[in-house]
Amino acid sequence: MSIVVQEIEAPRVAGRRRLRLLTKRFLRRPMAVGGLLVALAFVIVAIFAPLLAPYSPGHTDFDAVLAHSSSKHLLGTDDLGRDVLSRLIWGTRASMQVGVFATLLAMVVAVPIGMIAGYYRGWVDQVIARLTDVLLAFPFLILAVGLAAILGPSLLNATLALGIGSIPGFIRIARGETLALREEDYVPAAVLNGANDATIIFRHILPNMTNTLIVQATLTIPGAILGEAILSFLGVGVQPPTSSWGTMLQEAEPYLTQAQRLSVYPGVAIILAVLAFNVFGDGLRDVLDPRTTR
Amino acid sequence: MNRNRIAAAVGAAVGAGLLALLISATAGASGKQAVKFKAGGTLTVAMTNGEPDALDPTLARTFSGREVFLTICEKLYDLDAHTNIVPQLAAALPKVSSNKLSVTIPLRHGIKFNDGTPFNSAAVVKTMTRYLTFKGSVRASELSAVTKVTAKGKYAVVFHLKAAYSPLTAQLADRSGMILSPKQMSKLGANFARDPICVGPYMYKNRVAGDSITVVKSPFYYAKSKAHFAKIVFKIYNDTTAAAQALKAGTVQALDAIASTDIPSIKADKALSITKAAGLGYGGITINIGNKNGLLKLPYQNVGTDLASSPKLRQAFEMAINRNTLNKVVFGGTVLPGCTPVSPSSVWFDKSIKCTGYNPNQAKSLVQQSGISNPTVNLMVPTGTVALREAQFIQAEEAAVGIKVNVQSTDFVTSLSKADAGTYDAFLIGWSGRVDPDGNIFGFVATTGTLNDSGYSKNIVDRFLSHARSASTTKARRHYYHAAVQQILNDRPLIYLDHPIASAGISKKVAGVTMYPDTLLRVAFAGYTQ
Amino acid sequence: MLVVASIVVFGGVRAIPGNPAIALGAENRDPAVIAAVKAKYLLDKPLPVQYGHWIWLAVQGDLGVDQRQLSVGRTIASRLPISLELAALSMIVSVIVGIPTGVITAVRRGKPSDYAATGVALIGLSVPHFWLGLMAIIWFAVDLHWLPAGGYVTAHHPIANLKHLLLPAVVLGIGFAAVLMRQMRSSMLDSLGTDYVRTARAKGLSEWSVVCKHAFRNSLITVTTVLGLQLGALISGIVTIEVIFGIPGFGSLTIDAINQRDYTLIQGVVLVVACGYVIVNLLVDVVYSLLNPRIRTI
Repeated sequence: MSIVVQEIEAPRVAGRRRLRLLTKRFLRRPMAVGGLLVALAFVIVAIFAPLLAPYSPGHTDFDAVLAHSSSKHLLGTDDLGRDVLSRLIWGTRASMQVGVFATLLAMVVAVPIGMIAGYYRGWVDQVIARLTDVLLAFPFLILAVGLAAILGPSLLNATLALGIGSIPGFIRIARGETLALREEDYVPAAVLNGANDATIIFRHILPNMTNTLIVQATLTIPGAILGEAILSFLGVGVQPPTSSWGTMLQEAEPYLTQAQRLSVYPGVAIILAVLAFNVFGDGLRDVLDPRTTR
Repeated sequence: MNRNRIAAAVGAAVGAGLLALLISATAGASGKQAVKFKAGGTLTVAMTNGEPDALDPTLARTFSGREVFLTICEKLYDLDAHTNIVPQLAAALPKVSSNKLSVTIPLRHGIKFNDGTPFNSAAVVKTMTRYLTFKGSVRASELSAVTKVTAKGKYAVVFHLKAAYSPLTAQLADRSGMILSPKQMSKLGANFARDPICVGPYMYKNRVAGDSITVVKSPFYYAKSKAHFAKIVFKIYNDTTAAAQALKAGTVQALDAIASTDIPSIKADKALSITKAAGLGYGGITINIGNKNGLLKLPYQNVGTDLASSPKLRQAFEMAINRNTLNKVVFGGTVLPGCTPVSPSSVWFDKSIKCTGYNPNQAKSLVQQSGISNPTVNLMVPTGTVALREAQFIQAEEAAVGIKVNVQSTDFVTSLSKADAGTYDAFLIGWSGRVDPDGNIFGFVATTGTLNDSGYSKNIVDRFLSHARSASTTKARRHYYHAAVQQILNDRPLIYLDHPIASAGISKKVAGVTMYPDTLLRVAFAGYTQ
Repeated sequence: MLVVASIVVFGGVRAIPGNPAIALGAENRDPAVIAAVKAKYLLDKPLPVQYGHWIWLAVQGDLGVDQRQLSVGRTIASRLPISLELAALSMIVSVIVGIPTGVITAVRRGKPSDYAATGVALIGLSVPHFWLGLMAIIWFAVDLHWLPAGGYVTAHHPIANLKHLLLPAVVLGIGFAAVLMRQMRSSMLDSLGTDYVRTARAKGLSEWSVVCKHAFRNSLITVTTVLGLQLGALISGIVTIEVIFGIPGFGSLTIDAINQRDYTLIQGVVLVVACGYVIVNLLVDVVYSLLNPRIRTI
């Protein structure tokens, strides 16, 4: 009995040492570190937006419409005389919200489903695979526009649509990992120990999946941020007066010839955020991949 | 205080300047200029007000559709540059019987439909019968006062009315007056839109859904020499910026509505000219006062929202908005600030109506007097860049006097549903405008009005409006509309903010393109000069 | 799977508030018209009856008539080729850019050119293509006047046709070029490190021929895999690009149909998309198993 217990515990004991090893490997990748720092910066800006923004995002000044950069407005003003920098900062909050929460939503819904498919296999797996296919058959954009038409456009519904769009990806990962992990030795040992299915899935298999899940999440967030930008730009995502990077681009579009700079600022913000998460996620994946040696 | 005066002065100057422009534009249009047109060529027109729906006047309801119809379907009557009604397929203005229940219209001779068949009273009768009885006919409600139409000889028809209805002629100057070829009606029936045939300088050729409609010069038209192009292609552009680019690049030679944000760059382009027309419509805010259970679910009862329950709050709401700044910031100076349902470009415009001016200080005290603490308004806005810009502007103006406005961006179709159902507080919506003032007022504020989303019901207004419908002299009608509008402005079921000015862009190589206050781009008699 | 998709579409479309009568109504909301629209769409009959009616007609090739009284089938048939052309052109762009870069960076792994190219690829992945489209319009159309800002000319005029599609195809292709490059790189790295290749090198075959042979084989697999995975993204990209550049293709048709609440059109469009998806996936599977008999997914 005690021998069996030790076997089950074995994968966790090496935890702390492993963490230190991983951190070392991570720090050897300057790009990934850079990505992490920039991503963190965006998260901090998103959380502390009210403190960082010089003006409130709705503060209008009708005498200073479409103004160029000045000491009063570092990045100038938009078509209603609102400070662009402040709107960018507040926009970070909306865009990051959608990006992070959509990913979380997808994870929370998809991972259990994927794990069930991978664990039980058989007809359950078949059904789930078919449903995933149907979900994949809908390009997320059409799904999101349709959802916006049904529920009305809003930040919440954009999050919902993007979350649903990210579900197939997580199902696949969870299913794949479960399929592999269920062959590990500690599973039959746990079964012998009298553990029921739920315990095995959630207490034994899930913790060993966390690495892959974290990487997938880090790589899903940038997609969701881009998705929010597209949806808000098309008018079916975040709605004005809430400022997000996508709505800023939408409001800037009619002024393409008069004030190009209004289109450039939010675009650069999107590129930086997406790039940061992508680079960080790539680095993380390399670090956690047992095949890489550095 | 000083800023207000300056703003008022600027507004007056802008208004005066625009009025001068309009006068010169219309003077130019009516003046006869000897222009040499080249025969042939293809004109490509960019349409940015949405795609035309079915090209069957029985069912058509889009603005863009009317622009296409101008080239292929003439009407019994038409407008002139000053919104007077003039005969087109009719031979003269209608004669109303002494009991006002019969209207006789003489028809022109020698006209052929675009399939060669003759235009006569039988064709008019068949068309009107279709409009009145076809299942799903949109024209039926416009002709609701008509019981039947009969022929009087070969070239005259008689409209038999249920009750006196002066706006009839105005209706016959729009889609309800378009006469369809009986042969084609018999041939296609419900599918008339697949190949519509009427009387017109051009005839329908084909259509690519969502992209374009092509019409070609008709060999049957009674004034063939006035049509110069060989072909006109109406191209649909969903994005106004893309349309402006196309105009500048020469891909299209005419653009029916330039967005205010594109006007500076088109003005600067030496190869393009801009034609302006102050429209017949208005932009404004509809306030839900009594629409509790849905449109036409009478009797209307006050819905109890902050705005609905307090006339003082509504007054404050109006006083908080500076219409001149609205014009400048939101519309780039391309609207006429206004406060009545009838536009200054219409002959029915009432100069004597006094507007509620911009007065934020009085607004603030009215808010106090209303007794409502933290007044909040949920403003439903149909999605669209300009509408959202306007909503955010209003939000800022109202915040300055202590009224909180929540902007609820809703897609256009859903917003109309909600307005009808009464599930809204305030609705930022305009109206494209009709020639007859009845078309701009009755539907919205009469108790039985089919567009009365506000749920407004006042006996005295109903009486004024129905008198205006049955009165036969312009003077009498003006008197009734003045009284009605005065009352409406007091009660504020709608707050009228502006009258849009349409600007169309045209290549300088093309001449003869006009735009009347109905803001429809008229290209039927235009042509290339170089 | 098609059946499920069609049911979902049918139900979803009916769930959209604001019935088509209101959409058709625009300004005048006439009760008689609303009744006529209801009759046309059988909106008063129970849902399964409506669904059966639609499927019965669809199977016969009749997708119905849209709000403009135009045949849905014909509309789709006229606008689909435009999107297909755009998709094909952007795939060509991404293959031309992505595959060789992927090969080169795999071969020159670790060298500065690898980092540079990988960096560029990452940026390519991070740039929102609709923003890139807007910027491209500003630079090439507005400022430089080299290319048209949008719109479409039929293939009857091949030069103008390509000029109009050049910017959209490049903008769309860049994102996929980046994905292709990364996939190509990793699969080349994998295969260049296999025993098979080491043997070939030992046998004296030139580095170049080894690389080329594997590059060719891998690229086909890579493109197919990526296409299969990214089909949804490709379609979304086409929709956005068509909207920005004003191209009257299948993508903008979809958006318009949804905004107009044109039930018949939406159903027809989504059905076609679902069919297309099934077909593409099938093709991907076939190509896959042909290329690599060891991977049999059918």
